[in-house]
Amino acid sequence: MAVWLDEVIQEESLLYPGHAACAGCGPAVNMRHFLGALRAATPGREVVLVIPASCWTIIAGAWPVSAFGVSVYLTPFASAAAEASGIKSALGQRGLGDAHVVVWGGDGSTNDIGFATVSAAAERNEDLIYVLNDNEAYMNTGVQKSGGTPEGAWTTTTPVAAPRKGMKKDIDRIMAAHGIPYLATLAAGSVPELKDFRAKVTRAAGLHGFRFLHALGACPPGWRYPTGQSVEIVRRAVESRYFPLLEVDAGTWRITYRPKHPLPVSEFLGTQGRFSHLSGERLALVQQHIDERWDLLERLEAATASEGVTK
Amino acid sequence: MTPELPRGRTVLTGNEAAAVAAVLARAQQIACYPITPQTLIVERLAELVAGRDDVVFANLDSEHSMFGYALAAERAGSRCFTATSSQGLLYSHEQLHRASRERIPLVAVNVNRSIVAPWSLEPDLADSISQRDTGWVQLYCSSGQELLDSVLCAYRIAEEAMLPVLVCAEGFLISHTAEVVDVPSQEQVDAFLPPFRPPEDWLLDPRRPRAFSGLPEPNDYATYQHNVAEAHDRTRELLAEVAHDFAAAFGREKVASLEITGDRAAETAIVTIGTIGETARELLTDDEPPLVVRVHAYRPFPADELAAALEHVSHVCVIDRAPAFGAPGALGEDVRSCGIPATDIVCGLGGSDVTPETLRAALARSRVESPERAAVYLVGGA
Repeated sequence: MAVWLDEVIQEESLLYPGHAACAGCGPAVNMRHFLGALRAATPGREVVLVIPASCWTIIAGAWPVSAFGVSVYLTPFASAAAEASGIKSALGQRGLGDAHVVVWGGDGSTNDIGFATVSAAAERNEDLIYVLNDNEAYMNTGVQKSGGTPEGAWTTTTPVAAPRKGMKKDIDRIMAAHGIPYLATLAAGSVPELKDFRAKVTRAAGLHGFRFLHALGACPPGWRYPTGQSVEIVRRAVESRYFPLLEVDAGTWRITYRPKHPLPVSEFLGTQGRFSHLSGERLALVQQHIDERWDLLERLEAATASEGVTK
Repeated sequence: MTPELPRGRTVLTGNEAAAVAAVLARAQQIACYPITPQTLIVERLAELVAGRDDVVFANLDSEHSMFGYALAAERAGSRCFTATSSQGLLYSHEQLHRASRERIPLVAVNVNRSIVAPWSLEPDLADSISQRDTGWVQLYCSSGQELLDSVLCAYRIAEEAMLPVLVCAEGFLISHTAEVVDVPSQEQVDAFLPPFRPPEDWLLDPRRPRAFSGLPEPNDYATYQHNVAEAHDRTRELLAEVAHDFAAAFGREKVASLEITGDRAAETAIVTIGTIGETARELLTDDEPPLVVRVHAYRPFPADELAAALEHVSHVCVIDRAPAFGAPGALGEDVRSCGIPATDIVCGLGGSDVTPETLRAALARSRVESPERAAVYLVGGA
């Protein structure tokens, strides 16, 4: 299996050793593969990362050191998509408009405080790649509930006695409703998921306009699991349909990976302390919601199969 | 077809004058979000740059996004312009702080409007005065002409000092008042204001990967802030230099930091800011006329110049057009910080009229009341 992984990952990492992520950080794996696949897809194009307040403010490195082989512009929490728009436009005025301008925003930034700005950049169809780095809570501040926090999860602001009510915001359908050119979900699990991940980044790299990539990022301290299990947990998220792999290409929905024998969601939830209080009816309800969302995605795929429903 | 700019002596509102100035300054990007009474600036700019491929006009989703867009675009090399008022400026507060600390030479116009609650569209200076500690150079105007001239000067100041500049003008009193404004030619402005050429090592250049605003050690953080303070200190001289160059280029005087009118040997002085400075000059024909000092550059505060101007004055009355809660008003505090005993009068809030009579009443009150730790409020149509 290791040989096969080497075939998938051939390029030098643009996220350097010595970055400040936690041990086992899933988003760091995502970043490494995202930048690698982007550079491999478009070798001649420079990259500017625009990062709102998040773990990545820290991971990027202590000034004046940078953990990246690309430019990084750190912004306030709510304005990254607007700032990326300004950078893209200004680079165009300097004859450098070929550079990829990429927002790397967390689930708090994207679902909550920066949502209006993300939506507006999508509505303007800005020529950006927006990566939602979704670790499902405000992790940099120590695990607080965000709009991306899943149903039933423990966080420090949704304690076990009063866990997260309601469901995670369906940001994929919301962003797809903007009629953007491309949207995809990414999971850096094992080799099949990774190939899917990199194929989608390659597709996004070749398009113009607002491209939204939703990457699941496993977080050992926030999800409460041992650091060595991030890849396996992401794999189970996909195999249990907790995190469906999908894309919306010019309005056409497609489930890009169908688990042959879907795992019960408890096989995913059970790996993490944040769900350890869930059982019985509440667990069954989570399973029901996951099944319902999968059915909805199947219907969206069928409904948009022949042609795009949006612009 | 792109409309032509007015030229020479033309009747313009303050908002139109600001828009014309932004075009003459060759702003490459205009970031827009509407708010009364500023909106006419961006409306006029939208018309003036429509169809031009050398200017980007960006409609954003909030003032917070608008300032974020403009700051990032400057960092990537474009000269930008934006404008706002009141709640919009307050909504941008964190972006304002960050602009000066990132040393971004953005020029913005703030059309002053009072702050909710309760709602009011009328002018006072609470919006921008309350942003005094954000590290922006702040210039307050008293006419449409001064607004146009100050926007042109602001780009010179901003790009030489690498500090953001906020040009302030009271809503309606300036923004919607039509007056004769002398509009310079593009050639004159080009000779005065060179193209935007920020330092290479400051610029975001994708070909030279770097991280911007990463977490420094505490001492390095402190050095960042100290650098901004030193830049402000150097800007005091720069203001005078730019005003001098402006007069040479356009044949018209330009106030640098303070406008001082009247007899420096007068017993009494009024120190004020904005259009009240214009009104105060009407007292110069009174029997015992005061010295009138109008603060144009509020940050950096022209402390030495002010102390020198008031050297022979025995009674100083400061007029603040922003509320003071739990302390004297901002301008009053600044004047006192120069070692000048002064009574601070707050008036003109929420668009309350400030007439020569108001100022005479303020002077009279200031002679009998001089609280140490509070402002004297003139309310109720004094």
